[in-house]
Amino acid sequence: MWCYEKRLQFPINITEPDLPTAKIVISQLGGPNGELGAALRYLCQRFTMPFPNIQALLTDIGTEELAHVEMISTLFYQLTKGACPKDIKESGLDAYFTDHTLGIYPVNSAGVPFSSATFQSVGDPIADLTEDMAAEQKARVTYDNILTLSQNEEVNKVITFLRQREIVHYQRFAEALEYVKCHLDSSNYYAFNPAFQPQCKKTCQ
Amino acid sequence: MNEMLLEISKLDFCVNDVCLFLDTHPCDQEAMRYYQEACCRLQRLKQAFIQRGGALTNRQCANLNQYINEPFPWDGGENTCGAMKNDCNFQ
Repeated sequence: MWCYEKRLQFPINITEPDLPTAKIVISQLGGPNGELGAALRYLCQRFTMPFPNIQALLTDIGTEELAHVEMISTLFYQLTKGACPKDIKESGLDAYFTDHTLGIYPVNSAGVPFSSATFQSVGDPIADLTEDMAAEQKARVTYDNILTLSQNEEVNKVITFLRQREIVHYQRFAEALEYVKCHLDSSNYYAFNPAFQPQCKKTCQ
Repeated sequence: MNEMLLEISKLDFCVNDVCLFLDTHPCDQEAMRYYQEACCRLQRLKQAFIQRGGALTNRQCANLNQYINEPFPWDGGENTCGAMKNDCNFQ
């Protein structure tokens, strides 16, 4: 269950259209290191995570990622609002405009639609949490790249906030991985998967 | 109202962040005290916001029509300010 609050996690106020920046920012909505993939990854993985506090962590971070989906969507929306057709054509946003006008649709910066093939949920706490740590670092790198390309200060304030959140989430996932390992056999972490305990009927044997 | 909502967002950020910390440090007493204090302040502020007619959710607001009709945050709702603020008035 979720409850929507009618506010952004971090204020966004873009005063002028900036199509080249909109075109790169949208990658964090529908791209391989984006917020939508992050939200779905954690919210899917939490079901088989065998420790309630790590389920809580995946739920809490997954929920925060949904707020980030809203923030990236807001950035794109405000950066494209009121844009004129000539600018849309010259900025290279014409391909997006042809299919979506200025509606919000999850694609990466090259226009490839969002795919759940960009993330995994493998029902193994060590593998899932290791993926989560990598995901946070990949998102951090994407934000670094956006900051390298964007000169829009109104956007960069927001991107800097989101980048910082990736670093905090990475830290929490690293702690979660340590917690899980502490509850496994230290001589062989992989001997037993606490998320998979088959209960076979007699007829299976 | 705008400033009040910004304060709510700041406090909620504190609560959110310390919740993540407590997920992996459940025995940290200092963090737990911080959580309780921030939660308490957040609840008080939200209550005051509602009493002044603010509509943050449709589960807890004095006037549902206000929740429905006020601009959403991407359209210059309360949590943004300046140029976008009145840009989406369709009445």
